[in-house]
Amino acid sequence: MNHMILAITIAMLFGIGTFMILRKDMIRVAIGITILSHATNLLIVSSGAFLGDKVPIITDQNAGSSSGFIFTDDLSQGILAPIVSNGAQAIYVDPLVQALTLTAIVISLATTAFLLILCYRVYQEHGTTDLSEIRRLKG
Amino acid sequence: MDPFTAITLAVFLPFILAAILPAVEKVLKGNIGWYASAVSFLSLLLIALAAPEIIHGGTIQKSVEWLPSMGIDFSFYMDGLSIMFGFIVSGIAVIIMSYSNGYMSKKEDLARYYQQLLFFMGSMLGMVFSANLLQLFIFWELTSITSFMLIGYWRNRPMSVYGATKSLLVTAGGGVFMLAGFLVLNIITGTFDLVTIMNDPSIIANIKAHDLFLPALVLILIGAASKSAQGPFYIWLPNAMEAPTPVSAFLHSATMVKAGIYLIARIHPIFSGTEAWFILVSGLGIITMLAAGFLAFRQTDIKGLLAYSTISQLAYMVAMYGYTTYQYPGIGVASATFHLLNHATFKACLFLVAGIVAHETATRDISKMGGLRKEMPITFVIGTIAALSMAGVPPLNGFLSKEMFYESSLEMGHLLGGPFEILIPLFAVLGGVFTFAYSIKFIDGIFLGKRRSRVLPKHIHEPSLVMLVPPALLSAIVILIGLFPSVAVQYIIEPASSAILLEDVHLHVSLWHGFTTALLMTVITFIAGIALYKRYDAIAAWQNRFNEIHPRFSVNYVYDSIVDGAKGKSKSFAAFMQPGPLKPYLVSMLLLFLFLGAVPAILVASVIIPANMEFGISFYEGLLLAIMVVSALGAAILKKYLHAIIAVSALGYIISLVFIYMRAPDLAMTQILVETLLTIIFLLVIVKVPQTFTEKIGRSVLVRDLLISSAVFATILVLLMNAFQGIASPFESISYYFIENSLPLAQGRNMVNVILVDFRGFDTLGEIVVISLAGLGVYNLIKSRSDDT
Amino acid sequence: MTTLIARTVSKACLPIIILFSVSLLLAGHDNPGGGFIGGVMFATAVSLMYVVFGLNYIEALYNNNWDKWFGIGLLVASLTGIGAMLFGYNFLRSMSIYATLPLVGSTKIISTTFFDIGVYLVVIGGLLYIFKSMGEDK
Repeated sequence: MNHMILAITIAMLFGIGTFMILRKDMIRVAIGITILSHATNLLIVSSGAFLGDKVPIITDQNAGSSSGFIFTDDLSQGILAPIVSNGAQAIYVDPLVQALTLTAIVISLATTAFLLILCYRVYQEHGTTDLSEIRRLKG
Repeated sequence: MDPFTAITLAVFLPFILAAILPAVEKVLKGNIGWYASAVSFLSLLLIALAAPEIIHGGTIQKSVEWLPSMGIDFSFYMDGLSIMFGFIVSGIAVIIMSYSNGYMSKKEDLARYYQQLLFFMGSMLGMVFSANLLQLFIFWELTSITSFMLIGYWRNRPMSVYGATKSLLVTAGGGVFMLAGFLVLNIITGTFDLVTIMNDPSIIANIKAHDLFLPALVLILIGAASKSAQGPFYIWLPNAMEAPTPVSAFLHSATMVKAGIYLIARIHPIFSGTEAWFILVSGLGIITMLAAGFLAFRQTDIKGLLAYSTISQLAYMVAMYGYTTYQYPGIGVASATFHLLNHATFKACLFLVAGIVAHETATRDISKMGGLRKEMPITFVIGTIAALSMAGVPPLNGFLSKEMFYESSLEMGHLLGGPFEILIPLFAVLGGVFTFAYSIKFIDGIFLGKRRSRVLPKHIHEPSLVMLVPPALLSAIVILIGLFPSVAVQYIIEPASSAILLEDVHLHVSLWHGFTTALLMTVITFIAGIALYKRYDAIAAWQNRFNEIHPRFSVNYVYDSIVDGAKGKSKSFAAFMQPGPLKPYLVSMLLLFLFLGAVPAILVASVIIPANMEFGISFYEGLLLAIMVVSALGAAILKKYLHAIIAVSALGYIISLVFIYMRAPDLAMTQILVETLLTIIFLLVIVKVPQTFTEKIGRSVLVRDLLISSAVFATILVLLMNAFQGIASPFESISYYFIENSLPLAQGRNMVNVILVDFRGFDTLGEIVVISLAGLGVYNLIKSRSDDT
Repeated sequence: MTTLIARTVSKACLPIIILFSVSLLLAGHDNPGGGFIGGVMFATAVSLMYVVFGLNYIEALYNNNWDKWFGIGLLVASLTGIGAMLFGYNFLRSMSIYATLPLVGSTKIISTTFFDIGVYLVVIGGLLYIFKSMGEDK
């Protein structure tokens, strides 16, 4: 997948989500938050997706071999990032960001559900889904 | 039982037994007060168990490891001083709790009342037995908090709330200064252990020579003065009289206000023998003694009168503890300690008498009383004994310590020489004269003469025995100490004074010394006191007039304007920070995000738009991304909720395809399923709310929101463009660790799953707790329906 | 939504989906899957039944307290962690053994599987609890 176009798409999702959470309508705010969480998930996963090109699951043929990274972090020589030794290559995409995002997806489902039901209960108690209206009612 | 265990039990049993008090109340009903008295009697017994060893000159210290990393132990220390305070606190507690049985109506919230009293007693005992400065501070603040709660016991009276707040602000605020003083002391000595400091002459010499000596002393003294209502901090004590009278007798005359005196006595061996100590402590004491004695004239509230008298009596002790020279570090220590004990007895007794009078006449205004000796002869006798003791009339205990006060003042003046030889005894006599005058006012105003008002109830009578016996007991002690001082002196005062001076002290106290200068001063005091009392009302009237003309000329005015000003400022600040509607919060957060994201990006990245960007794209990929943007736009634009929700779930499904592109099979699967569930929940909700809501967006709002959104868009875009180019990260990525070790360490081939359940298992545990909480939250939201809908 | 086709298909699919979710759960350590995915899969299957047949029909068939599920799930996950402490290791430390089970043969048994089962139960319980509370509300 191409880098620049993907970056523009993610940034557009952020922009649209931001516009929606600035609305007065509670349900729209909830939808906006959903879009924002989609965009965030995409951003996190895409940041690790271009490291390697293999799914982070060890299949049998390279079960024994390592990914080929040497762990040196020699600050005195100005080397900050891990060194890839000759011939070895980054074969897996970053699994950590995927693990983070996996829980984020499920949790955002639970919290969005909570948010939606909060909206519904607010509507029941106050008879409106207008946020500015609710503020006025509370006094 | 070994003494340490006994003391530990004496301190913590009140806390434990008070905690179960609400349960006990169900069984005992109205008799809960007797339970509380039994608890305090138990503490008294336990302290008595530990006492013999101390009285014979020993000390006990034992500690339990508490915060070893900071070198702080939980430790108790027992010497003559702390044992004396232990006896005063628990002994008066027994008397007060018994008296409360008669004083407090059965309709009151008795469980709360006794619980707080017991908490207070436990913290007070914990404070006096603390060997560690930080531990002392914790118990010290606990007494402030319990005092706050007890003053505000009648929560719905505005004056109670005002008094409680004032006492908390002043005493707890002073406590903070004291803590700072302790920290300075820690910087000098490197320890928080009081006993180590006290018993090592080299450490004390080091402290006295140190540059930080004065800051430490001043900070600790501010704490002591605020607690004991000395100097300008006196203002909280008169307002604290809104508490139930037994509370005033217990906390605000006999024990809690003496915590400051205790602290001064405790640090006496460390700081005394210096000029700073004499000037600060004695100066504070003498000024407060004269000012409070003078201000007492104006009081018409009997408890107010007693409050000012307490302030001036405490000032006696502060002044005496301050008497010091390099050669004789503790001139007034024995007299001050003796007066401390005597004051606890006669002042608690006076408060209890005041409580009886107020209880029977339903007023506390002294100008409405008079002539009560006929209706309440026994109360009259008890009150008179206590008041005469305060005035310093022989053969009562107040006379003995007053005499010693004069003697030590003479000695101090003599040692200093010059004008002080006259001035210090003169101030002492003046303080005594004021004391004499307000003591007589108490007797004369309440019991003697004729009734000054018809407002009082018709049938005033003696109270029940429950209320009469406790003050009678105290007045008996007043007489006994007066007649046979040697017992109290030998078993209580000498060990306590020795503990302060760190050497053996032997006193000879008797009623008759022969014709001495001190006796002459006493006679002068009585004559001048009677003369002053003749002019009593005139002085009070003058004070009132002065106050009306110059309202700004008072500490209370300063306090009120500070507190009111702070309230107003916080209110406007809160209104500014918390405007209410959701939007300003979001806008400010987004602006902060833009600032934090964009500014460093522009500063650090020399080129915002990287040189080699790839725009090449295959048709199918482009199609996917286009659908994503279109569906997101649809969710934003479509009017009906149903349409918007279908658009947003289209977005979610496409994202799962994108995840497959990004080589994340687990994510893709989860995303599809979650999207399905989310759509269903959305649909469940929107069938119950109106199907559409059209917000009329004004042009300026639209422009502003679009600007913010575009700025967010641009920031994220710049961030991503640069991130995809691969900026060298200053830290090594931790992902490689997981890639390397997934199979060897965790026996798993799916790295994502291994990270979730193994390497970062604790995170996952937290996350499933969040899911459970969301479930419970939804349940509660649904069930917590208000009844009227 | 209750057409005959929907009813028949969803009835037929339910056991298959549930079986698949269990397989996802158990296979998770080596293949795509795991407690989160399996749990969401299970929840989706049951919510499909709720949507197609309605709440009352399902309740008549199998009335469940989903809150118990996530309670037990949390317990299982925590006990896995505490189990490691009993052997003197840190909280949540994993261990694995190879055992020969009847029918299956040589199998790798990893303690984190139990943790994953806890996650599975919590996700099912939590999501369906939300779902049911919402659906029950009139």
